[in-house]
Amino acid sequence: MFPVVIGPILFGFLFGLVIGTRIRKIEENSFKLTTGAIIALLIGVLIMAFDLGQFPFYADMPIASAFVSAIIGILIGCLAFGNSAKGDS
Amino acid sequence: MVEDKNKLQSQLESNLESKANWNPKGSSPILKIMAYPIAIIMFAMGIMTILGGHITPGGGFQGGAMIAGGIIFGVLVYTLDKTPIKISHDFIATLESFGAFVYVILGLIGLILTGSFLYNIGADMYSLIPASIQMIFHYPDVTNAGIVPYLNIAVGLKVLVGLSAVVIAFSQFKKLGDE
Repeated sequence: MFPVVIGPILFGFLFGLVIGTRIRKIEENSFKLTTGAIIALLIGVLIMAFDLGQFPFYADMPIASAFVSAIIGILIGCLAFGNSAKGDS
Repeated sequence: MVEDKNKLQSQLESNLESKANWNPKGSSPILKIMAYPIAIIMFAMGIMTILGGHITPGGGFQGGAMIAGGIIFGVLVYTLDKTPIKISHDFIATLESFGAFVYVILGLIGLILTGSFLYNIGADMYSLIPASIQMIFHYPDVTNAGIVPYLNIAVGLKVLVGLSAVVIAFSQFKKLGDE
């Protein structure tokens, strides 16, 4: 068992945070990212991450850590800054 | 002659209008419900592909294209005005510039320190630079990849905004037709 690999967790979170800032939490006439939706999404993401497995040469945990940290970054960016995102249209 | 010209003009306008209204009734409720979470999952898959580019198939371009696919998915299903993924011109310009800047700066640092453009200063295979500088650019994982993941991230940023910009520009033909 190797120690936890920091690189994909850190940069996955930062990358997700950047993209998450452009996602609106609630937009008219589309899916609403409510608390229940977030919990359902996280459950699905954890199942996906477990099926994806760890990266090659990374044997730190049984799930895809970059995938999970990216989703967490996207959700935090979306919840914190998403509603102020504006497009050009 | 004048009638022909008017007819041609009206035909041209109707063509432009038909191109603009490619989704006049909106997408089905199934698509509207599923596109948003699927786009989020596509973003995360793209990020994972970018960050695994140095040890797995994939990398900056492929991951960036996956993220752009999520953005395009939102534009196609919800249309540009109503998509929850708001990509502005400033955001596109910032990410594009940042990606190019990081790539060039990493290359120039290698050039200045060792004489070779894009020398992998994080891995330092030929022991040309001090260990303190090598540690700064060392990607924190078990593979000694050096600056390769950072280059993948820079390329991924450029590709995701580049491909998104193409589709966003194409989806705004209605405004050009109205002018």
